[in-house]
Amino acid sequence: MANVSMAQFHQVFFEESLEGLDNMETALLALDEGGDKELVHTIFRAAHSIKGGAATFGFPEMSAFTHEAESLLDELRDGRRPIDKPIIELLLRSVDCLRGMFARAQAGQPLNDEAAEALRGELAAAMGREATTEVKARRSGDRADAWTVRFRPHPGMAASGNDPLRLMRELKALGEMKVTADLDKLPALDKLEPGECHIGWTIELRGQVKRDTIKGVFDWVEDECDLSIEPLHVVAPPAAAEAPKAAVADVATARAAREGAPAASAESSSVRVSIDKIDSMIDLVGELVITQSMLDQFRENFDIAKLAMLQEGLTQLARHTRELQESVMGIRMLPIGSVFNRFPRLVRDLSAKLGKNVRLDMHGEHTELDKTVLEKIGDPLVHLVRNAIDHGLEMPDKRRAAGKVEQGTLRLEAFHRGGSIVVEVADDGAGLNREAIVAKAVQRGLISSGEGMSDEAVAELIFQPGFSTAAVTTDLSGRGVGMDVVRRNVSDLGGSVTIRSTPGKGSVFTIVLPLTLAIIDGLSAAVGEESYIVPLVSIVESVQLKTEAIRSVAGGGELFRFRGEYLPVIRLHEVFGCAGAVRKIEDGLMIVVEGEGTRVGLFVDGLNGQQQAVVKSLEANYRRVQGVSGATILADGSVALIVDIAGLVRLQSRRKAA
Amino acid sequence: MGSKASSKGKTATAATGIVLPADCRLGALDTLAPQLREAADGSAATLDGAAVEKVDGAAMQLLVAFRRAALAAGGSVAWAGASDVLHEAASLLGLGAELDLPAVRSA
Repeated sequence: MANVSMAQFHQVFFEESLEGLDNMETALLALDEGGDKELVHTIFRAAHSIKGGAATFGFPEMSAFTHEAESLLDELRDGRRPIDKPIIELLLRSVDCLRGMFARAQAGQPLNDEAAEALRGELAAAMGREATTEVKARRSGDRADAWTVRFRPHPGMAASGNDPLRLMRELKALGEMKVTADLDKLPALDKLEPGECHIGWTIELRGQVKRDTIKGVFDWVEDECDLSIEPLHVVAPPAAAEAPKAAVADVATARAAREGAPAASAESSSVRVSIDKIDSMIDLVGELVITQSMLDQFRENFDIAKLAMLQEGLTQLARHTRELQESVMGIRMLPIGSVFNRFPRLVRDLSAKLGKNVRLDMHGEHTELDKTVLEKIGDPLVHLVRNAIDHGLEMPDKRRAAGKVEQGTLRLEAFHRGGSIVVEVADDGAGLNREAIVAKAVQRGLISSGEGMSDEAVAELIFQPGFSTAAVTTDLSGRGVGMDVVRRNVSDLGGSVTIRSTPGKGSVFTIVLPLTLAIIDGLSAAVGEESYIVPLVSIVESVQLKTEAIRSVAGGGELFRFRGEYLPVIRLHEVFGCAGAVRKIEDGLMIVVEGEGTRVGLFVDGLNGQQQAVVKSLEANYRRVQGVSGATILADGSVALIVDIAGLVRLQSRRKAA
Repeated sequence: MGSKASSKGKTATAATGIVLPADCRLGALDTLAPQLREAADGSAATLDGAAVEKVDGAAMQLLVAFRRAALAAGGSVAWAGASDVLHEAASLLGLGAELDLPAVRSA
């Protein structure tokens, strides 16, 4: 048989399994909250498919691990064991552990680590405590150097696509094998239905193999055969007693693995699209073809009397093109729920750890977001949620003293606003502590004093690099990653993050993100003979200034006054070296833009109007250019560069520093 | 080999030559099984498995059942050839002796 490489299916298996793990986690958390017992079946099914898949795709360690979890779930399912907190905790940790294994599998590293082995021991031990003697006996014979495997497929096994020959081949890969076929039940030739299995096998397998590894071979046919695996020679069981101890020590490792996991796994290069989306796209393409053929007939014989029809055709063409564009963009759109899913667990673990009582309130999980944006928004959101629980929400006694309910509420909400997606992380905690922030900022040399600073300006300080007000740095926040990183990550996605805080009432972090990265809404600005696209999301206002409004400062910089603050002027023609541009301030236009939390004025000749720009990568076609995030092709076929506001601001502050 | 088998098939002993297909798996058995049933009539049958590239447990089982039936009817089964794939499958399934495959093909 041709050796089909399983590797081509690995990615799909990983994606499906990670999804399965997410479902397991969600269901476990719901169980923890006193959810329906039916959830156990959901969890069991997810574990079962992961186990089967892992065995098929050549991850015996993963399969063996999941097998333990599955056995435990089986006991829960049958009601042989009550569902209690420690069991849920153990299963949640198993989910984490499996995520770690998947991350390692994707990175091509060995799957098992000490933490995984220890946890597997714990799972077994959890069952062993009340396990029947049969189970104990089975466990004591977990390792052997020779096994007798008795395998008799049920007659229908082959019909489900499972070939005993394949199983034998897999077994052979485990060690030296002596096979005896039992032909007693083989019917006579004229009675034999070729698709039915009537042969049984007794296999002597020699090699240092674990029972679970052997069992893993038969995972897919478990329900379709009689199987027994008995050791021929028993060897000493592994140091099971040491396992739980190791588990404690390795929790940190497991956590690290979990935190490492999303980075490796999240940015997968494929996307699953619902069939509805594809169908609607096919419909639209059909419409487009009809419109095109309708327009085509004008090419042959056109007279002016048909002008109205032509115009109508063109309108249709425009509409269908736009709809198709939206529809194609929609392929990349995924519900933000996939990111939100991780928060119930995070909030549960974190609030337990800090001794806080937190209720998570999520809305708008179905809001769709570009896949790339979605993958990159996870980390900033995690940070905001952590921050809210760690710094925002108070301890229960403090809340009681402040006359609030003991349980704090963390609200996570996503919704559409205009052409953007808004994600809010809101808590009903203490709000920002103005004094602490000012004191810290003074200590850090960010400001000389907080006097005269508006609350907004003070709040902005927390986005400054290296800012952290937690008196005690916990392992949750204060890992050297601050709000500045959150802001940078969000602005890399073409979005913005702002904070609104009321003392004693809580804080709201608002992230505004573009729907997609492939198309941006921009304002086309003329500079000399060139056009530049300024992303609409960064624009605050545009103003026409008189020359007197500009103040020159030492070092060659220019400032102008805008709503009570002085903003630096960036003349686009200077930055990009455009010839023939307007130089006199009153002849041109100042676009006030915001990037990285800083406002600046972009001086341009004038505005051409608003337009959607399809972003073409400059990096891919040319090279990275400072202050430019990409290029687009205008209606007249000329190329316009898309201004990277955050990049310009960085460029400007560097120039200021120099 | 094949021609020899078929010429033999036309002799008075009414021996039958059956050539196993390259893909000798479940999908091919609907065609193969009737041929084998017919051949298990007590005559001298010859199986040619030299061309077999793919085989599965179901096919191996059918061959075993055929050989048993042929022998029980007083006939004989000879191998005109057996590919490595066939040998491997017989060995993996512990059916080598039962099928009495010829010695491994010389190169």
